[in-house]
Amino acid sequence: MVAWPLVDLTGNMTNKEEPLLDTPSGENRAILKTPKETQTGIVFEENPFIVLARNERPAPQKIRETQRTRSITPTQTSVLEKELDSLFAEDDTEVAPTSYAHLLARLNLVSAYNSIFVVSRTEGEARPSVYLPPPVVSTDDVGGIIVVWSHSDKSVIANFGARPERKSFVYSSYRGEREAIPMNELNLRNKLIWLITQ
Amino acid sequence: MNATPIVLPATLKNEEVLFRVLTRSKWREAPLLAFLLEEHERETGLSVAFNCTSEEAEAEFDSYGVRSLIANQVVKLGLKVVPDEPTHANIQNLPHKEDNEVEAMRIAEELSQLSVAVRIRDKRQAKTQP
Repeated sequence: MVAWPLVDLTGNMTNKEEPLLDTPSGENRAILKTPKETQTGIVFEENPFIVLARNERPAPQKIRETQRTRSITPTQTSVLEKELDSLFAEDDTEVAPTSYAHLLARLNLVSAYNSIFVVSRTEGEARPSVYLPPPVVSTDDVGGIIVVWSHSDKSVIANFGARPERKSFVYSSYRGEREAIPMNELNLRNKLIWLITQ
Repeated sequence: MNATPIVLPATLKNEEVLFRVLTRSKWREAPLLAFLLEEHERETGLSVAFNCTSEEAEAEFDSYGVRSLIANQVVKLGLKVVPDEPTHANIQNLPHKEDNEVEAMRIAEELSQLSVAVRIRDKRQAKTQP
């Protein structure tokens, strides 16, 4: 089984502290490493939003230190949750989200983010760390919620209907290829991973 | 003395400049949202101003800015620009996302890519016309 340590978050694999970069959303993102900088890491330099590292199975203690020290992934999820909640308070929102849309968005988005980001605390089951571009979270004019992610030529739009009879879907587009698929956590998760991979 | 009645063209399809007023802050960050048909526009079409300045277009709304389009570029997408007032028109043939989500999103993306930001405001400007 291949383990995926979060070496990019802490620099632990190189045994030295490395600076974090500021992202457009104000969060910290792990600095990109070139293969020369760490012989144990593989960096997809053409994609600034994803940094993966493959290595031998890391010591469990090292994973726990990574989680405790500088895990950026819960931050991204909590920022998104705050943005969803703030839709109720925005004075420029003509129509506040319905409770249904808000619940549906929260359930699917948090689940999808967590399934991408959360690292299992079980020994050796760490997953790749990823950085998603910050989304734009808005409402439509009847209380549905629309979330837009853009990266390179790709975009993913999550539409949460205001009511059960309204459509909820995940739309994606890339160089003229477009599709809309039903909204659920798995579809959303897969499209977000597709967004940031080559 | 009778005023001369204003004759509106059936459609706009030349170099007329169309303005879409950004009435929501998030439309500045994700312009395609400004080109999704809203529920109240479902019957009429996407509301745009023309034959006026961008300031005049904006004056009727609480606004975060204005984006502009050229009518003939809109027509090339298979849409119609139908004026209903001397300074107002509706872009028609756009589906609502409840009716055809892929087409609604595609057209919104294409219109947003064709559009140019005339003015983006940090804060909302209150409407100046009743």
